[in-house]
Amino acid sequence: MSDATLATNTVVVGAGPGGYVAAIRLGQLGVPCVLIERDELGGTCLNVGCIPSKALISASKLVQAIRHAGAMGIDVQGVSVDLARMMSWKDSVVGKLTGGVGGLVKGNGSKIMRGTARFTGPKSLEVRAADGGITTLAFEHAIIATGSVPTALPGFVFDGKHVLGSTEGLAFARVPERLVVIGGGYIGMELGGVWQRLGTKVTVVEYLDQLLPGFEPDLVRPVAKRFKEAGGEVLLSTRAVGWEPSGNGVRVHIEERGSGIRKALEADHVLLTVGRRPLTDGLGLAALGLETDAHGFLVVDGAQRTAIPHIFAVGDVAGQPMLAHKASKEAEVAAEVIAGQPSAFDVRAIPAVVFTDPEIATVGLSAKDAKAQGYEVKVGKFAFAANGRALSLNETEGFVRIVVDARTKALLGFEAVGSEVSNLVAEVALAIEMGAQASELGQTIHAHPTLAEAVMEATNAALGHAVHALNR
Amino acid sequence: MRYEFKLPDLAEGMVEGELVGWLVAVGDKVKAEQPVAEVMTDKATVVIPSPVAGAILELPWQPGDIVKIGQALMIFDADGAAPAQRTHAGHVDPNATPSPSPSPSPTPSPPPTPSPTPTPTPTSPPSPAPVPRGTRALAAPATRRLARELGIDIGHIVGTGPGGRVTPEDLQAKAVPSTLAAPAASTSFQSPAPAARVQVPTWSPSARDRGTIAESEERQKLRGLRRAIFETMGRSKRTAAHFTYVDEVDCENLYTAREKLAKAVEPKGVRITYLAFIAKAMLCALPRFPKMNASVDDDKQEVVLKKHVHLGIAAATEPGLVVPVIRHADRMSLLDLAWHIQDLGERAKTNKLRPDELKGSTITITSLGKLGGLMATPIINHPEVAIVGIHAMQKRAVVLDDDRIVARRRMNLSLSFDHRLIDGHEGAAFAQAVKTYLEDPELMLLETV
Repeated sequence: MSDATLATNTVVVGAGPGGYVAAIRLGQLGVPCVLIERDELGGTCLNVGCIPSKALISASKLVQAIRHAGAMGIDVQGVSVDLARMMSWKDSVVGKLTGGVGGLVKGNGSKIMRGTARFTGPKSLEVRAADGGITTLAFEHAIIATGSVPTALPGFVFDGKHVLGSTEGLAFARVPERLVVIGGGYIGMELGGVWQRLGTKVTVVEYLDQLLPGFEPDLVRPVAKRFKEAGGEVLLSTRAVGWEPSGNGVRVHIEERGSGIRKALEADHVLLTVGRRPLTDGLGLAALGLETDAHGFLVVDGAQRTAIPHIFAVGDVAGQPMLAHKASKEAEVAAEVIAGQPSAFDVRAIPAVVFTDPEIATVGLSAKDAKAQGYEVKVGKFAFAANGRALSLNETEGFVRIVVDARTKALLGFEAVGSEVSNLVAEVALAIEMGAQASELGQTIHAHPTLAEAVMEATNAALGHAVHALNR
Repeated sequence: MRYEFKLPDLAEGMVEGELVGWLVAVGDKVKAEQPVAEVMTDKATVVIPSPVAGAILELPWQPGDIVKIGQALMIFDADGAAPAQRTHAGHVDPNATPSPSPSPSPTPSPPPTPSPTPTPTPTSPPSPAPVPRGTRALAAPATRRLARELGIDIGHIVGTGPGGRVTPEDLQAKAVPSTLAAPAASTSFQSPAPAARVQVPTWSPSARDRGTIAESEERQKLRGLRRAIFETMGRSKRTAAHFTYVDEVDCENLYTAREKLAKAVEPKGVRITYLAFIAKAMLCALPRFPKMNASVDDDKQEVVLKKHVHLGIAAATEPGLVVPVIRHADRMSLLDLAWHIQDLGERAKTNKLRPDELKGSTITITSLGKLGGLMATPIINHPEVAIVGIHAMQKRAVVLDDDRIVARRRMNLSLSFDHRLIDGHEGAAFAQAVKTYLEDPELMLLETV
């Protein structure tokens, strides 16, 4: 136990992809900084989010690919999954990345402090370590990067056994026989997909009338189709009412919203993925004189400043979308602003990727959003069924759609569903940020045969001259 | 039905126009001939009438965009059948050399001001202004950052890049030089101790270090009318062999005549100006000097003698110099000329001239009006070969034959000729002929209209 007082220029609370990036950038800019984390470095993303889920998605997709290789003349007998080894491989991936984070933060000259931070005044906070020792830190600037936590549902409390969140959903000791996923958003569909491919019978209960709400229906359709073909069940416009233990598992009560008809589903577990809420519990915002908005977010401006000019917020706690790469960009902005640079979160577009089967990726505006914002749009679409690489991958599902400002011919948006579309989004994000003309993307040679050709073709289709599709 | 209205050529030699503004919006119903857009050609700003009646479907350009002849200016949902599209007026000379392709003009942009890496501010700046989140500005990230460094709201910049993309050059042009950005003045200036017996001045320059005054410049794109003037003036100066002849005109008789005629036509609402008299004098002299009313076809190495006289009258307008044309001026009475000069002058000032009124001149008069001065070297209105410049009329002391010194109204004329075609004595003779008519306006009565 030790009590001590330290002074620094900037404290960063939370070491996820927002906080650790801020600490690295502050170190690069020569601003003295202390990064505070109560759990593992890397936050949700590295430890219990993006990275471990993608590891399991890759592994489970490989299992599925092996099982379905017959179309290519490959018959594999006796495929078996050692889940424990798969999990330890996943953990090793996580370990490499989180270890790297610590090295980068320290290597850039920032300090790391373990413990739970709580603001005690406008320019002071205390850090309570696991052993109960309290360190008081005086600072000039603070960056709040505390992230978010899964939201519960009335009647459903996370209990670590029956009702599970995404963290437990990444760490089963054995493959469940049956799983009820409540919430058909991207987390539910990604995790549900993992266990479905590993043999679980998955039922998704979604309150709204579409899986993956927020994405255009035609982007979601191939995902829903493949999910159902693999034995998954989708219950739309359905409310989860409550649950009770049943044998070794659970019985989940659901209600169809339109008819009010109730039903019970038996499963090993409930996976509750209805969303995430910003985390500021116990942070002592009152001591700062700072309040959250109605949804619990800290409102920030383009310099990532909260209502108090020397307090910054980045990442999930600073507003939607809750995406790691948005957090990292915001963190760079906050660090640079603190270092006196004229930075701003002035992006034109934030890419989003869903690692379902097949994948969905978007950046910029959908045609609908663009019209709502007053743009006159031209839209071009190209189906992977006409793309040589997609055919040779035996992954012909899906398409790329490009949205162009009809007036200026500037690129406005990209939407895609299909295999590996997560890797197609970057070039369009760059083009949109550069204010590129659609023709500049369309006139760039795209290597053949690649999936990226579909981006070029869709762009040229928007301009009325795709080569490998009829222009209507 | 869908009808693409392609930008017609609105003026001689025009290849493109700059959209000044729309007079309609998408969705508007318009009648045929209703004004829909203002386009600046290389000669003037032209109001474009709708070729059809119907609804506006698309206005694909933004003010400031350069639209080439034949490109779809706007798209209508036309009522009834769409008219045949005319994209080119006037004859096409198959032998005409292609107009020089617009040079890519790699503007050597000044490197972005290297802002010295600021030392990290260890204390928070006093309540900074909120920074907006996100942007709809069409500009690359580096350009957006430059805008912030220059303190420019990029959302208010109309870009010159494709589709209105804001370029670093657009920002540099807008940048307000900040004296704050200049390095702080050195405050310790100590003059060396004066040597013995050297007189020490009791006055020294003010202590303010002028080194802190930032040098600044602004870059502007050559656009619209200015670009046109830029090209035509340059071409004239590069091709014609200018020589300028200046002579002084006694204006006492002219003064009397104008006073009398001005009063006579006052009820008609027409102002007879000296310019009208000078135009008339020129027109009276011209039949005896056919080479003055000609042009040079540089490519064919031919002189084109014009049998008609279309008189160009250079006029200063807000956007720049324009030359409206009085067609068949040689067939006009003094009153007609005066009316046309007045009419064109007024409409030039309000940008109401039609494109066909800005082309086809065969000889030109230029007047600096009140700024007349003593003499000038007018630049010939290419491809013409002669231009008459008028200067201020003022009372001067004149020595008469009997050695008396009297005050008389006098005015200088500066006439420029293309010496490749017109010899010095020919130019001088033409100037003298004009002068004769002006010194004795009654002689003009002898010339028929």
